[in-house]
Amino acid sequence: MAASSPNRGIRSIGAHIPTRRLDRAEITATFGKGGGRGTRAVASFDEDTTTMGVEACRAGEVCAGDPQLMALWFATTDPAYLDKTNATAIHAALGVRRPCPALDFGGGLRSGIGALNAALRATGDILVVASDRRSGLPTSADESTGGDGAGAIRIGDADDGPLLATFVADASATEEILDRWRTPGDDRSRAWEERFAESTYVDLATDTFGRALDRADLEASDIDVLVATGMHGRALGRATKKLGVETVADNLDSTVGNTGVAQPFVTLASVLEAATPGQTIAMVHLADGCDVVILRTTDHVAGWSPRRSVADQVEAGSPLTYGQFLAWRGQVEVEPPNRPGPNRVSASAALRRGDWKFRFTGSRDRATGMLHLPPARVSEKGGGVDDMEPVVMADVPGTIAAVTIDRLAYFPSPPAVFAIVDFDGGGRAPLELTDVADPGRVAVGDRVEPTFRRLSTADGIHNYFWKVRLV
Amino acid sequence: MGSHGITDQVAIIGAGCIPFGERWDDSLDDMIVDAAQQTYVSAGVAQDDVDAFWFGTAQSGMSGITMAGPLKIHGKPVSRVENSCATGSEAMRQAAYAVASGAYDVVMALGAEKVKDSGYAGLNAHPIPTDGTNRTLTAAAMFSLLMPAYAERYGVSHDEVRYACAQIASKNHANGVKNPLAQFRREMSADKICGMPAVAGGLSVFDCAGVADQHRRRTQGLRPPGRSVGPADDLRDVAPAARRGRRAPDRPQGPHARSHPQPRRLSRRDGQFRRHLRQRTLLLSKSPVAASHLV
Repeated sequence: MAASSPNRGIRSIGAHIPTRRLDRAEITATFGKGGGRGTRAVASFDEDTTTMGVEACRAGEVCAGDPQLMALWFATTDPAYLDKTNATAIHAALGVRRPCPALDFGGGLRSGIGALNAALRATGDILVVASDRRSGLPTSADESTGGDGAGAIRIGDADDGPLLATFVADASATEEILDRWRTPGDDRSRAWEERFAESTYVDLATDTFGRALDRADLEASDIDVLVATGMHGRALGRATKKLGVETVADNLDSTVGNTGVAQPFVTLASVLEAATPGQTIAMVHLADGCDVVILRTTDHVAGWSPRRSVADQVEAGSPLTYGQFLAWRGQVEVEPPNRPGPNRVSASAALRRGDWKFRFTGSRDRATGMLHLPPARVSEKGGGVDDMEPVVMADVPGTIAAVTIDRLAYFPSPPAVFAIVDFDGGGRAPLELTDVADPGRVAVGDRVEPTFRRLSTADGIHNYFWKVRLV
Repeated sequence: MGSHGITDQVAIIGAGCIPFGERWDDSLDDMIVDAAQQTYVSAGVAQDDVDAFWFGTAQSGMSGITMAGPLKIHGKPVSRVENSCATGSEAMRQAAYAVASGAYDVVMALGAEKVKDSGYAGLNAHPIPTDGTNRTLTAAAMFSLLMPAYAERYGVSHDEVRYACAQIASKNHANGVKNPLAQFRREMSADKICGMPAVAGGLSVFDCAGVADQHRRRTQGLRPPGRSVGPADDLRDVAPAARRGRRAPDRPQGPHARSHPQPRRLSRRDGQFRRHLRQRTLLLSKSPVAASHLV
C-alpha cells in the first residue's frame, strides 16, 4: 500500500553541475565517429562523486539551520571507496550531528530513486544524495550521452518545518533484466543490443505509472510535469509518449548529459526551481524495473530558490578539450611532471583535524577576535592560549589578496593557480583556485567562495579538502 | 630584553667552499671530505683539534652521523641542524654560540646539500605525515605571490614590479661572474630575464636560485679575552693555499709536496689567531631573487 502523506515531502533540494563542458563534436572530429551534437558536463579532475554530492547539498542549502538529520543516504555507481563508507565524508563536510547514520546505497542505477522512495516512506528528516560520473570507451554512446553531476534532496515532515512539495503516491516494479551491467574493475558499462528490453521497459513504465495514479486517485491528465529518467534511451522515448503527460521535463540531455543515478534528482531540481504552487509532478525512473513517485508542490515553492540554481550552473559552462577529457578520465596516460607525487594522508592527523579538513573550521581567539586558519591553540595576536572558539568557514566568501600560477608543482592538470584569500569577517589562508577557465585573468581583488574538492589520491587514499572558486 | 650578542667573543679562523654545481661525480660524502680538508688547511688545524661540530643539511641526511661517517669523527659531538634555506646560517650560529659560551675552544660548522641525486626537478620536501591540508605550491610559487600583492598595495604596475625583480636577478648573475665558485657565471640582462617563460607567477627560471649540490664550512676559534687578533697578513701562507685546489692534502707529506701545506696543530696557548677575511659566507640565507649572489 502507498504511504503517501500530505505531511511529508521535500524540504529542500539542490544540484551540482560541474563547470566543464565537452563539445561532442570534438569526439567526432578526433575519431571520425561517435560524439554528436551539444555538450556534456565533465567533473573537474579534483571532483569525484563524493565532492559533487557535498556541492549539491550546499547548492540547495539542505543543511541550513540546525541539521537535525535522522539519516544521510548516498547513492552512486562510481563510489570513491569500497569498504569505507563515502557518505561519512559528506556527513563531515556538512557538519551533521554525530548520532546521524551516514550510509551508502549500492552501486545500481536504481539506488538514487530507490533511496528517495524509502526516505519518503520513513519518518524524520532524511537527506538523500545521488551523485554520478558517467562515460564509456571513446566513441561510445555512453561517452557522449553521459554526464557528471549530483543532486541532494532533504525529506521531512511538515510538522518540523515547511515543505516545497508533498509526497502524493508511489509505485514500484522489479524486473531481473540484463539490459545493462558492469563488473567491478571494468572501466565501462556494457549494454545488450538497444532493441532488447525496449518493450519490457515500456510495459513496466505504463503499468507502474498506472498503479501510482490509481493510488493517488489521479489521471494522467492531472500530472503537470513528467520527470522521465533512465539509461535506456529508446525505451524512455517510447514510454514517455505512451504515458500521456503533456509536459515532459528537460533532462538536460543536450547540455549536461545523462547523470545516471543523479539524473532524476537533477531534473527534479531544475523543475522545482521553476515550479509554481499546486503542481503535480510525476517521477518515472526506468532501471531494473520501474520506480514512480508522485509529488505536489506547496505554496512555499513560490518564494523559494536554491543558493545555486541548475539553470545558472548549466549556463556557466566552460569548454574542455577532448584530450584533457581523455586524460582526466584515465583513457590516456599523459606524462606526469618530474616532481614526486603527493604523500598519502595521515589517517590519525586527518581524524584529529577533521573539523578543519572536512568542515573548513577555523578558530577565533576570544580575547582579540583574531581568526586563525588553520585553527590554532595559541593566538597570533595577544598570545592567548586555549581561548578559542570554532568558526565554520565553508560558506564564507572571501577576496583574493595575492595570486600566482605555479607551473612547477606536481599537479594533475597544470597550471596550478594559488591564491591568498582574505575571508569576510577575518581569516586568511593560502588555497588553490579551481574551476578557473582563464588563469591569466585572475586578479587581486576577485571574489571567491569555498568549494569541497579532492586534492589528490595517494596509496588509494583520497585527500579531501577545500579550495576556492571565483564567484 | 635578553638578547645580548657575542661581538668580539668568537673568531673565524678558517673557511672553505667548493664550487656550486650539479656535481654529478661527487657524492655527499665526497663534498663533505673535500670541504673539510680545505678548511683544516685554511685554519691550520687538524680534525682532532676541533672540539665539536655542527652539520647543517636541509634534505640530504639525518643526524650528525651524516658528517661523522665520512670524516671518521670519533669521540666528538656532531649536531645536525636544519632551518630551511637558513640551515647554513643556523649551523654557523649554533657553533658560534658554543664557542661564546665557553663550552668549546674550537668548533666547526659545515653545511652540505646533495639535491641532484633525487632525479626530480626543484626542491622537494621530506614526506612528513599530515592531514593533507598543507599548501602544495613550490617555493618559487610562494615567493611569486609577493609580486601581485606588492603591486596592489603600492600602486605599482605589474610590469614595473616584474622588471625590478629581473634587475635584482640580473645583478645577482653579474656577481656570479666574479665568483669562481658560483653555479651560474654568465651575465644576463634584466630584459633577457623578463623575456624568459614564467615558471611561477611572474618569475622565470633565471629569477630563481639554481638547484645545486654544494657545501662549505668554517672553523671557528675562541679568542681569549684581552688578546688582540693577529694582523690579516698572517693568513698569506694559508689562504692562497686553501684557494688553490679542493683536493685533500696527501698524507704523509714529504718535502716534495709543496702545494699542500701541512696543517699545523693549533695550540691553545697561541697568542695569535687567524681571522679569515671571507666574510661573505655569513650570508647564507637564500631566497630565489638572491640566487647566485654569494659575494
